Amino acid sequence: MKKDLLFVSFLFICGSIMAQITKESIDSKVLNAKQSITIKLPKNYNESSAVKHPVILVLDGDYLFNPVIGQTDFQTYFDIMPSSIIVGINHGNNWFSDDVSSESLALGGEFSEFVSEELLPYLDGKYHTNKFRVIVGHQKSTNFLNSFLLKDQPPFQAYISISPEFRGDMSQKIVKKLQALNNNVVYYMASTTNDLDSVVTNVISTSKDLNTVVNKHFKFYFDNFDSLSHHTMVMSAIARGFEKVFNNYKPIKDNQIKDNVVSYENTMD
Amino acid sequence: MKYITVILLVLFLVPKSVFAQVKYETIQSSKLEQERQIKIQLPRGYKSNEDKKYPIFIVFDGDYLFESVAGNVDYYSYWEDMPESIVVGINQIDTRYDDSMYSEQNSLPIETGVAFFEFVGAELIPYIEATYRTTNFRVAVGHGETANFINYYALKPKPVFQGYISISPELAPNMMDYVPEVLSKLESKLFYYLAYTNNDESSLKQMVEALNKDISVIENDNLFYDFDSFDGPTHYSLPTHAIPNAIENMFQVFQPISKKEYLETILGLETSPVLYLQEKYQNIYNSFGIDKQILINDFKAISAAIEKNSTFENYEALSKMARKAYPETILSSYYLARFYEETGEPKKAMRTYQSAYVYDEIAGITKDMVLEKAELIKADFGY
Repeated sequence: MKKDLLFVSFLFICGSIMAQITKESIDSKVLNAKQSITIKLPKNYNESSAVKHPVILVLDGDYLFNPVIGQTDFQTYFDIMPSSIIVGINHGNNWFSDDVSSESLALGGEFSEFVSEELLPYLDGKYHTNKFRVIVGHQKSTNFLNSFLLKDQPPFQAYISISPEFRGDMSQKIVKKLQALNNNVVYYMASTTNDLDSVVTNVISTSKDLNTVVNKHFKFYFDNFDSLSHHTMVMSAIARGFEKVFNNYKPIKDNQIKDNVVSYENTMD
Repeated sequence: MKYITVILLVLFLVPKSVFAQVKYETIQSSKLEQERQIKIQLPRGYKSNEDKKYPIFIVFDGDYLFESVAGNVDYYSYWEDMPESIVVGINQIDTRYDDSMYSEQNSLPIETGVAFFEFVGAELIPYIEATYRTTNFRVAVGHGETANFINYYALKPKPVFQGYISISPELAPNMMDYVPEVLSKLESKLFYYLAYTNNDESSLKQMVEALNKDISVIENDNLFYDFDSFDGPTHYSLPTHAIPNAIENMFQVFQPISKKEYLETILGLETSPVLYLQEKYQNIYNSFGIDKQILINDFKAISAAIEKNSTFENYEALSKMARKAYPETILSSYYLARFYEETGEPKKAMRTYQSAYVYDEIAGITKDMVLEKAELIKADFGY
């Protein structure tokens, strides 16, 4: 004990603050319930600044929210992506039961409406957001992620779909939609050779179909990781997926979303 | 009134335990003779488990590596693939060069490099251990220059770190000899992960390849070594690709028994699978200082192996372990009953099945199931 005190006396704490992660609750009319979300603002976020940030919506936020923060903070540090607002949805299974029919999935159901009609407007109203939005999902949630693609004006421009388990004819539907797309979409998909055979077969055939899509608005990337475990492949997919989504960040920065550009500062926070 | 204000403030400031909490501190170091910023992530359950102790990750280059390591540690802990851990990042943004300074003669730290070496070992780690509940398992993570630097800790007798994650190290020349030398003579367990990418500078690649070659031929049971060569990432993007692999490998023994482990190892055991289970958890304790509760998944795997190989005599020992791990449940009685049933003691088996009825159902074993088993024995033997 005395020893501890001695050591500590060499080391003074000059200051301490907590990271900016907040939990918010949205009163949803569509869901007729309160939906809680978790938000991490960029380190340089400033209420009074005109800088606008992309929104990254993380489904399966229970376990994907922190790794996505890890990847995006890392890329932001090296200025290979813009600092972004990360939003996690902790859903458990309450919004997506196993018996949802493919028809209602195509519409995305109430939860999809909640995201596009309530959540995104709420975020746009409260924070400095730009129009570039990314959505990340794993396994079952990827159907939900894909349902946004089927909308007339997809609210997300980038999709990171990890070990997708396609329900019904979802994969045919998105292939058809992507052929006719007239908004820019980046689509990253990943699986591992360790996934269930039925999952791998489905993902690989979908990737072949997506590779044949000829549409200048559509960019597709696919990884089938060799023998990575179920859990590790998710981390690899997040690293690869975010690198691919922001592949063209430099050119994008110069043209489309100029209000995005932030000067890189050598500060810890 | 003032009292109420204080309480309200506290209520708002206390973070919800569903988040891993991250705090940023500025500390004054006498070794460095300067202020230094650190980041600390405590596990999600830190506040609610007052007796639990946690391994520490010290992340060098914490200015950019911290969040990635912290995100991965939170993720793998969520799936119980590794023990929940405390992650500490050291900001080296303006000091990377000075912190990593070594002698051109012998490749060992000099001047500001020595000060930084001592800051981590003699100030930072003792401070973290005095402030938080920690085990004696510590991991160092470094990239480029700091990936070379973390090796200096391994050169010391009784090294402060038991785990090393060295990503694209810019090796000091003599380290190519020093590192294999100490790793071949290890007297206690040490986990060493090394990675580089095809896009690293060719001099870096050559040195890492030579180091890998020398480490991979070492025969020492205390060394747990893993190496990855990546194809595609740049030197600067490599860490987020390498960290998941490093963590998965380092904590392999901690992870639930996998299908592969069951099929390839457990089914083929010459010795008792129960002994295997005991050793697995003893290993977790010895390696990470964690007294982990035996997972139901692992009981099921061992029980499946006993059934598959018809080595029913092992059920008695498994029953004892289950009694200790899950005393309120049906598990232990069920295993004991299976033991009696298959070793020629039907009466005892029947009674044990009947007595199992009072315990909680678990692992797919139901009250109906045990009663049915008892009835079957009763009918067969006419008790």
